[in-house]
Amino acid sequence: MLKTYLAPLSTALVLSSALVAPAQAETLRLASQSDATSLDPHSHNESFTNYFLANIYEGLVARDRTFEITGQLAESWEQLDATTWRFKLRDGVTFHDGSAFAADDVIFSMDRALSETSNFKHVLASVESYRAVDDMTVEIVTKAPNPILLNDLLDLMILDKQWAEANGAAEPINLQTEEKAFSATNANGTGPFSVMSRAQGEKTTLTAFDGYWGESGNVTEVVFTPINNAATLVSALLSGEVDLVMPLPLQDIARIEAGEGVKVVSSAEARTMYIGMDQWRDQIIESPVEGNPFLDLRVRQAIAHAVDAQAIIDRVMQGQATLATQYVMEKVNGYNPDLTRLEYNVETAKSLLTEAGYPDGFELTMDCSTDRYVNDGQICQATVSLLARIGITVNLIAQPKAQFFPKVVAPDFGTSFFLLSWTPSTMDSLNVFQNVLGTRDLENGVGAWNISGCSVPEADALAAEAAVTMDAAAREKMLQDAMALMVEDVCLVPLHVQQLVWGAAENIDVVQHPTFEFPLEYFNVN
Amino acid sequence: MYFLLARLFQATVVMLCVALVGFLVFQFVGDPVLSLVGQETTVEDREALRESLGLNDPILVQYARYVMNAVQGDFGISYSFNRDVSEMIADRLPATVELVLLSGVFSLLLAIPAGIYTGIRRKGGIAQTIMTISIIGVSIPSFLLGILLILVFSVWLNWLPSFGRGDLATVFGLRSSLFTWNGLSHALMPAAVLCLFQLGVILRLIRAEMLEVLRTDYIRFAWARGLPGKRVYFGHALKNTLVPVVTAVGLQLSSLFAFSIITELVFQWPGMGSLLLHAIGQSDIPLLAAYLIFVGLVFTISNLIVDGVYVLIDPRIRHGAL
Repeated sequence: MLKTYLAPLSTALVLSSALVAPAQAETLRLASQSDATSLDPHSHNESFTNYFLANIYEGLVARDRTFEITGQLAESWEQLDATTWRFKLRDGVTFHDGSAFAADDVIFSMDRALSETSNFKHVLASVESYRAVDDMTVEIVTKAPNPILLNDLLDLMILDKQWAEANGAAEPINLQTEEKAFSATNANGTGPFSVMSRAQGEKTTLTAFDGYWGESGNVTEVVFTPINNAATLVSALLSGEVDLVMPLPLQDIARIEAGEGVKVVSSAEARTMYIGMDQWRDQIIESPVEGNPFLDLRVRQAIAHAVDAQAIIDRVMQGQATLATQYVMEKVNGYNPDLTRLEYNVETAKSLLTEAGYPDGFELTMDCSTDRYVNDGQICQATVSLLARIGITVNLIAQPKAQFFPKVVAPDFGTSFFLLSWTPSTMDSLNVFQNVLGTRDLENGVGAWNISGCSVPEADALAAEAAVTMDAAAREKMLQDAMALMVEDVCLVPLHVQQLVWGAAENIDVVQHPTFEFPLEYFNVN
Repeated sequence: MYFLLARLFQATVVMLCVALVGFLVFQFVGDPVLSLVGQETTVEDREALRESLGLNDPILVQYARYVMNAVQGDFGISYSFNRDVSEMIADRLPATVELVLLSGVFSLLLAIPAGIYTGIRRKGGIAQTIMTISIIGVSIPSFLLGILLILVFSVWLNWLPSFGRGDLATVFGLRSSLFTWNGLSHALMPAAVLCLFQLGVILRLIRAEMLEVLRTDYIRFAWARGLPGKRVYFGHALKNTLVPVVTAVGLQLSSLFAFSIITELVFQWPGMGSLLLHAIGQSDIPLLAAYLIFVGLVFTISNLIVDGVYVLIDPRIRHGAL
């Protein structure tokens, strides 16, 4: 009786929902362990914040669904000569508050990105000058030919000039002024989503922007909640209170794979993990050993042979990583497919150490963060036991990132053995040479993250040449050759390329990019 | 009046000490500049920011500057939120107050009768059961209990939301999530976790005090006089157990305020505790300092209140006999 009564009712429900489906409001409930630190697109240069804001603000160019660089606020561009670029801006674009987008907004945003309080000055480091040719055309002149200007411009978000000036946000947030930073908690971009409400650390609501110029998926509302505790985060996904969790803690992959109505989505991330060794001090620090063993190439090779990266991937990373042969992953321009990794072999490692004059190994201290990378603390513990097999005694200092980074970065570089990683934000290996692999030259902004202090002048020369070569094929060859030289010199011991792992409800379609971007306009709720 | 002034002076000294200890500890929480800037920022830019934030000054100079501003009601601007610290605390405080009120009221309502009952009938089956439950409440860590509750009530049964604070409503000018069903359903589990621990502590204290008092001579004398049980237990025994109990309750409730951190973390409750965790992660010194001072303030005030309550419940204090 009950059945016969319910059947027509449920049919009616299905019908009515089918009828309203196209116009239905689709809410995507998103959760992550971190939150955007600010809504100002030129203030905090932190990857989660940048990618969160890329849904609200847009740049001249952006990555499309397939990760190719494509025009966003710039409709097209041409090069007048080796250093002059002309960008034709997109017509009919409006900001969330309704005002029209034009060249003065671009010029204003570039000024703003270069101002004293900005953390995005590096984006325009290669730029000599820029000007508005007319209302819808902008010209950029670089100091020298810059083959990756478009990659650099990916991170330059465009604000509305009138809005920013009217609200006292003409410059990025100044941390020492007493004024309230309007742009930290309010946003007005041209992106597919606008900010409805924002309570940092609690909840942020975005709504699809009606006047968006481009295509967007069917998501009309995004509710973003930071959930710091990993167990709570996963429970929220399992109980259906959130639709998408990024990233998913590795230890919970099996639980989500077995769970009903939820799935694991993963792909390779552009972050390469590596072990660094002091190659610039005459005496390594925090170690009883005399002198610096790492100055001997054979010792560096021995360490590379002794660290079983595959075992770390299988055990510590639960298979969610791929072996790294070099210091960038395959989707980064300049990746050298011919390079191989020094094989895991304890005997080879031991004989290399003996040749170098350390038959019984030596003792050293390793610095490691515990809350920055996926399972970083455990990777270091595994390294300690792997190195013990060749007689190297490692005293591990596993510390929170708040203690780790001040210790190891410029100007002190206070470590002689450490775990670190790098993501080239431009997806071009030149970025890695300028920051991590290039011979340290802090005045000129090179090698600020070259904590190992390694130096291969030939590779420096190749990278410098690649920086001004416009011919893409020739340039790529230079970068590949430079990478080969660095790997041969064992500047660092490459470990693995981390996987990007998200947990999602079955009905959510997502697009993953190797840079952790989450372009919500490509996401769909089915 | 003199009493009050003396207490206020003591409180000020306590808070200055709290802030000083805090500042000495802050040297080890890490470098706030590194959590503010990106990986591509040059060394000079980082150094300039550090200088302009005053982080290169000696720690005592930073402390003095901080106290001078704090006296004028200015707690600075949070490095990581870019907002007034006092405003941030005002934002987060109501959420924590809700949890403290809910769990505090429930634990008192349950602990007082249960404590008296177990004190009087300490051999009975019900009393034994209550005591067992209270041991569980005191000994299970709150994060474990929280996760268990989430697993059972959110993941398996799907009855209660697992995280966050619910919808707000305004009643008599007060804005709180306790006025909506949705809000109450969010607050139930975190409040229960906090309540269970408080319950165990207060209940056991009341029971122990009751047992102590029931052995004293004046209770025996009361029985000898043939007074009815109700008057002996409630009129004579209970009243005399209250002084230590009030002290403990005052401290317990203020520690709920200050240290509901783990519970707030597990349930992603947007209160003071989760704010503190964020501040530690980001080395946000202005926020940390203000939090410490706030905690000092809560304890000082609750102690002042407890002192006042003593006078009300114990005539000997009022008449200077003690």
